[in-house]
Amino acid sequence: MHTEPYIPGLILDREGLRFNGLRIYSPRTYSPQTRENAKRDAMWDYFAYMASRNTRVVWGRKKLGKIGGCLSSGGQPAAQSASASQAVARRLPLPENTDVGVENAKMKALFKPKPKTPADLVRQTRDLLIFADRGTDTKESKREEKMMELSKLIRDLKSILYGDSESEPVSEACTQLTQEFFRENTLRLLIICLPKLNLETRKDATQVVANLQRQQVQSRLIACDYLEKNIDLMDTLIAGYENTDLALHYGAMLRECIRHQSVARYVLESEHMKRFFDYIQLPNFDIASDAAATFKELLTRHKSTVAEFLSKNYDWFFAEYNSKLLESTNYITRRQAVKLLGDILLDRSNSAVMTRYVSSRDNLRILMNLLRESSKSIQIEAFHVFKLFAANQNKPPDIVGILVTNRSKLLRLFADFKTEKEDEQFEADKALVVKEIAALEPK
Amino acid sequence: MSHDQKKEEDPRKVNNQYPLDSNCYKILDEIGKGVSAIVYKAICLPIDSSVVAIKAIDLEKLKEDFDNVRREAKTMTLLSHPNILPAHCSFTVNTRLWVVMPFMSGGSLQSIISSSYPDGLSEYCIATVLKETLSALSYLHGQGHLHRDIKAGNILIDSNGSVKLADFGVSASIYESNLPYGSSSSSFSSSMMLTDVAGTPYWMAPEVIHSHTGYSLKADIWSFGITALELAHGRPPLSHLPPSKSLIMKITKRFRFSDYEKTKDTKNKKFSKSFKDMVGLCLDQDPSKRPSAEKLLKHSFFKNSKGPDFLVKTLLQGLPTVEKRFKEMKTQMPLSLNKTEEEDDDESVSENPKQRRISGWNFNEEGFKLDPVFPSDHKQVTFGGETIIKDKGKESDGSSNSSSPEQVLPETDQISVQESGSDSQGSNAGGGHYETDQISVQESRSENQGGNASGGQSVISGGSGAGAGAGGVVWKDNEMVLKTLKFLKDSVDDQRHLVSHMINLVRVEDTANLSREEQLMKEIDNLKVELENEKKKNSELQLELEILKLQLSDE
Repeated sequence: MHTEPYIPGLILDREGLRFNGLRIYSPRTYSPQTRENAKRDAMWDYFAYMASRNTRVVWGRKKLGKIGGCLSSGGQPAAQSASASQAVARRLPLPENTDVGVENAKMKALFKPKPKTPADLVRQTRDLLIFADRGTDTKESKREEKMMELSKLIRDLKSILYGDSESEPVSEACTQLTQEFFRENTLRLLIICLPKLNLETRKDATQVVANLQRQQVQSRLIACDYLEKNIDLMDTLIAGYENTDLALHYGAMLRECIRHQSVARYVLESEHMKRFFDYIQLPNFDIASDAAATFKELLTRHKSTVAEFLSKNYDWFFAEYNSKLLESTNYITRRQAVKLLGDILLDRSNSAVMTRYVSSRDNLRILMNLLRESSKSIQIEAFHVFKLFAANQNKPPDIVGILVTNRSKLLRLFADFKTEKEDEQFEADKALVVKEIAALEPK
Repeated sequence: MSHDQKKEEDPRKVNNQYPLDSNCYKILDEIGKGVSAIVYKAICLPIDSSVVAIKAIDLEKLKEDFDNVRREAKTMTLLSHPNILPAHCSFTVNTRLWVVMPFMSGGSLQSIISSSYPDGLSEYCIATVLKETLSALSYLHGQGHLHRDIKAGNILIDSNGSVKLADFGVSASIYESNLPYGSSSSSFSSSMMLTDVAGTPYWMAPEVIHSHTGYSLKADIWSFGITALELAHGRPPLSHLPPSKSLIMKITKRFRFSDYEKTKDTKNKKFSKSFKDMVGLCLDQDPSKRPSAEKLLKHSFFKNSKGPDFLVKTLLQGLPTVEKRFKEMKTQMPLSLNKTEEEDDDESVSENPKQRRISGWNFNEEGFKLDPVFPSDHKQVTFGGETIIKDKGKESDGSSNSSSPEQVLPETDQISVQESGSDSQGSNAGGGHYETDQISVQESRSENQGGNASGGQSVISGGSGAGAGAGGVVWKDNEMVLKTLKFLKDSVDDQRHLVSHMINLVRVEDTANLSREEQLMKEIDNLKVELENEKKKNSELQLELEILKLQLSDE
């Protein structure tokens, strides 16, 4: 059932989406990169789906050595974890899970007691983070020692979540870790203390936070629950773009957090959204491009949220988008912006926004200027937006006026307008646009 | 340990001070050039005119999203290891991305070798340099990153003898979206024109060429092994072949380290057992059997390694500057430059992502008869037809043990014929293409067989043993002699015709085998053209249909 508003001329069929005969979306036009993303999304959706079905997803297969390594069986905590996993195994008769308990029992016999469960590690990390956060009331030497220990702990957490060169992660250990991590305020502490950690530990911490966003405990993404209650953390992460040292770490964490739809909605509707227009154009390339990636993620990942955001905030958003991004003096900003604009407008869920956008004379003017750029890449991307103006069967008179006035120039431009590689889709679109413009009568 | 980390942190703070404005830098010299990037030596005016290297990447040449560039630029910023060349900063200048890096005055090992050590480095040097490289690699792998382009051209040396692995990521991924083989503009390599477009295949692991999943950490280890050979011999194995052939060698798994060693032993270069063992471990066809970087560091070969001072005293002694080496290369090798441009064109044809993966080719491995040709020590690396012909001469000596006599005959014959063919064709035959040469020679051969001295002789000796024996007895009578000679001549002529006919038959077959690859490529091209035509027709029809539909719906 279609829930989106009825758009005249918009047809969805097996071949993809058409707008007045123009194919605006077809699965084939996906680039390999997009396909990669789609695959990643599919994985993510799968987990979300399994979560909704109350099914536990087992990440990776465990190996004997790993269980010994990370659960460190023996002693009381190990017995705990063994029984915990047995309980899980009983509850969920998944093949991967059934032998966990048995293996753990074996491990108990094999390994000397060295009790540090994942939960223990998290607790120790938290204690040290609290210490680090408190400031400099201890001796420098002692402090350094504790920070070293903290670095080691965070690395241990990372290898539980990701596995290491010898073994792959064990779901049971990951669950324990996640549960303990979000039981208290560890994430907040970690984010706040990040500036106090050294570079390697910052990277480890970022990877830990990223991984935790996907971990499920009792078939729930508890990271999402936590973030909803601590949504102000997003403010901290976004502000990170203003700090050269932290931007890449906070930026990576932020992108993982906005995988949760509710979190993305918060960011979209917050005042922060306006700041992204500046972050994208920061002089530092690695930071600016990281901000651009986050911006793109916000505007493309959660379709319904994006559509809602765009229709509610249409006026200011596109005013900013046009003036700050599409008309930027910065080549890379213009190129990325026009590409993203195409992605947004050609997305089926944004069709209402699209029809509104292509009825504006100002927008047409900007896109036509981009068509004249010396950069081939910008020209091509601009064409993919321009074609929507031409294909619109309900063109306002002023749009028709502009197109008719510039008809000969446009047709001349399109006459030797080619993609580097041959692209049938592009040629077909071009032919249609040319036909459309040639047939225009001034109203 | 904590001390170490402090040390690592400090330069990063300095790094952040590098200005993000192109006006703050003054470009001094061009020191490297790649497909879509140029590397400059420059000074940074606000920071005491300190010398830097700036890599200017043309973003307009990148057709894909910037996601890869972003990811790799980020990784580069976040990497911190004494053996990895960091980026001070990066920013855009119009359509170019400037990556500002420390200037490494020694340049790349590749440029050092080609300017001063054409026959390779000593094992002490190799061990010293490679140990540092390996520790960089071990750090990278520990962080979950691949280098993907380990080669001497990416190993840089500073004036103080410190060794740094460069071109991590940014270039690899950048060129990956551009070029089929992820080749890169090695920042400082002086013979960049040779290695740049054509280079990387020589270092590629077989499974990288084969598989669809591409690289694993162990692919870097393979490239590391090839780099070791490159340092030892002055060039990577198989590098006298055009890159596509080098790829095919690995695909057909004809290239084995043991084979390589065998031929090497016949030349005068001897290597220590530990070196051979180390390289052998890296060049295992099975990636899972190759050691990890960490494990390889403990190999006995690296016990030979010395400190940075050793490199300063030996390797860097009396070396021309990086700029000079780059300029020399530019002026001295116009020929190879042109050649590379041709290669470039060839590559650009295959830029199409549809054929990016070599494993997509479907040629018959069994029918592919070309045996690996091993580099001789005194030959320059060129890709022209001449070198290949010469190689064939050497190859036929070597291959005579392994291949059957039927194969040897046409092959030796082929060489002599080829030479006489180019003589008769005059001066323009010298640079002619291998394939076309072969065909034209075949024609000229059947026309003037009498004048074809070398071809004829081989036929006489091979074809008419019986007649030659009779000739010795009949000396007394002139008439008899004449008669016999006439008879002999006739019989020889007959034999020659017969043999040449046979040779032609065999030759045709052989040509078919040799050029199978080319034929298949041609066929693929033809099919592609057909496909494109069909697609065009199809899209035209669709367009018409859509327009008709539109008209219908309007009505």
